[in-house]
Amino acid sequence: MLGKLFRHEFRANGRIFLALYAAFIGITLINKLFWVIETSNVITEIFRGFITVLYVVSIVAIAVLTFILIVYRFYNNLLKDEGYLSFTLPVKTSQHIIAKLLVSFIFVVFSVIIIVASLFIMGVGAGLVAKIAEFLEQVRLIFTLYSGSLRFVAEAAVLCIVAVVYLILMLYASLSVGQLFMKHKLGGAVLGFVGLYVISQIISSVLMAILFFGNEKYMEIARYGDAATPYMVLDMLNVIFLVVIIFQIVLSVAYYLVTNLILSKKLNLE
Amino acid sequence: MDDNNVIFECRGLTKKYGSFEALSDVNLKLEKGRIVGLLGPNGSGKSTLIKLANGLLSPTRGEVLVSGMEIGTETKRIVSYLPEKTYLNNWMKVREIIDYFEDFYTDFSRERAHELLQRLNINPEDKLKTMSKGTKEKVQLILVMSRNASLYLLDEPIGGVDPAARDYIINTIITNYNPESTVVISTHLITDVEQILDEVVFIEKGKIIMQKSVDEIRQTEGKSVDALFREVFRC
Repeated sequence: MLGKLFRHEFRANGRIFLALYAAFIGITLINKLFWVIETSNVITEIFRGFITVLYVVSIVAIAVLTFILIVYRFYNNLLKDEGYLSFTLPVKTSQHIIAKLLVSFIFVVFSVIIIVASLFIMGVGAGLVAKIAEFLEQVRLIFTLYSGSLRFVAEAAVLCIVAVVYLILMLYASLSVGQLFMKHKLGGAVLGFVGLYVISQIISSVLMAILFFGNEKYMEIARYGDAATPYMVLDMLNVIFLVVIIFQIVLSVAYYLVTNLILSKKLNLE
Repeated sequence: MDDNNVIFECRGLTKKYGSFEALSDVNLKLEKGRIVGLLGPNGSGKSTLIKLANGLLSPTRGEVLVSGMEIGTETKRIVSYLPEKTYLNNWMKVREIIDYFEDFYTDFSRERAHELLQRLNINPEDKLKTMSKGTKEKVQLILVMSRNASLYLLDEPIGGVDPAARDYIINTIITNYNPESTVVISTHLITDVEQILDEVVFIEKGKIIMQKSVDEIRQTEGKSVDALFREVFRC
């Protein structure tokens, strides 16, 4: 059942995202064109400026739209008219949530890849390859100097993955909470999101405070200020990363449970 | 009533929205193999009852059971629901929604669906969003009746359709359902469905006020169901 849901979810999302990505690549190519042509008169300069702005805006747009579409898909397919079909399928609520979570995550990854590809298209031929080689050399150097490098990179990667899952589940939980308010589902969802965000910020601030102000070693680093070595800072960052990862995993689980509970026991479709 | 033969049961079922009570302490038992009319004026709680049976709403109090089970994945497997509104993914073609139903429901018959579509001149390659509301409703009905379910819950199946289509729909319902199954038709258009009903349940303001077989009504009351309805629900 989960596989079937996943497949249908992927198709439903894929349609919209494909169009989005195609448009974005289109804008990228047009932008590239304007930067590659040699002619330099006022008209081309104006167009080039305009297209460049459009390009930058579209990068932001892809990122924002990805999450808007994730929210839209969940809301439309589960909490609006299509919900009548979704919730009468012989499928557990948890399977609905997980299928959507997985597909949403995959499309976030796709969006990132598309943006990187687009930037690559822009940079290629303009010395990008050389710059990349230079950068990789720097990285190799850092790796040989700092023993915790690999762990650092691994933690950063895990943090990115967890952060995306965390955000998606927080959005789903907000929508589910909003669903409880009969007449103001979207308003309730926004309220829910703000509420959850505030609560999570408070908890994380308290955690950070306990962790750092109560810890001599880190207070030392803070006192060092500019004199602190990169290694000390990196070590501290490692701990911060770990704490944030655990914090977000715990909250992700909480958000999932809230969503599952509300949609299976407190569903009230119009 | 033989308890082993009960396909649908409500016990003390109550549903409140804030202070408004849509269903009040409903106690109902429906047997297998019956075509039941759930009849009542608008706002009497018919849709609410059906949505509770589908798990689209949660009861405030009491319980609703299908085949003796609480509403869940197992009951959804054997219940075929036709809601009042269109619930299909608008961007899909008819063929794709048939694939969808076939994927999730093991009791779905693709052959029957295609046969019904053909008889109504609906092209499987058409996209749902290009169809008129009436055609979309027919597609939904075809999908629902192409399942071999134990309980069919049809919420206003003939409400928004022209009289010729109404006859066709009613005919489809009787010729396509399994005699072991129960069909619940919720409607306020009684004359059209009366001839196919075995049993009627009258509901008003969230309460069941009568449950009788149609034969009993004709014999003891000596009138048609429609006439009885008008009498009972006189304004």
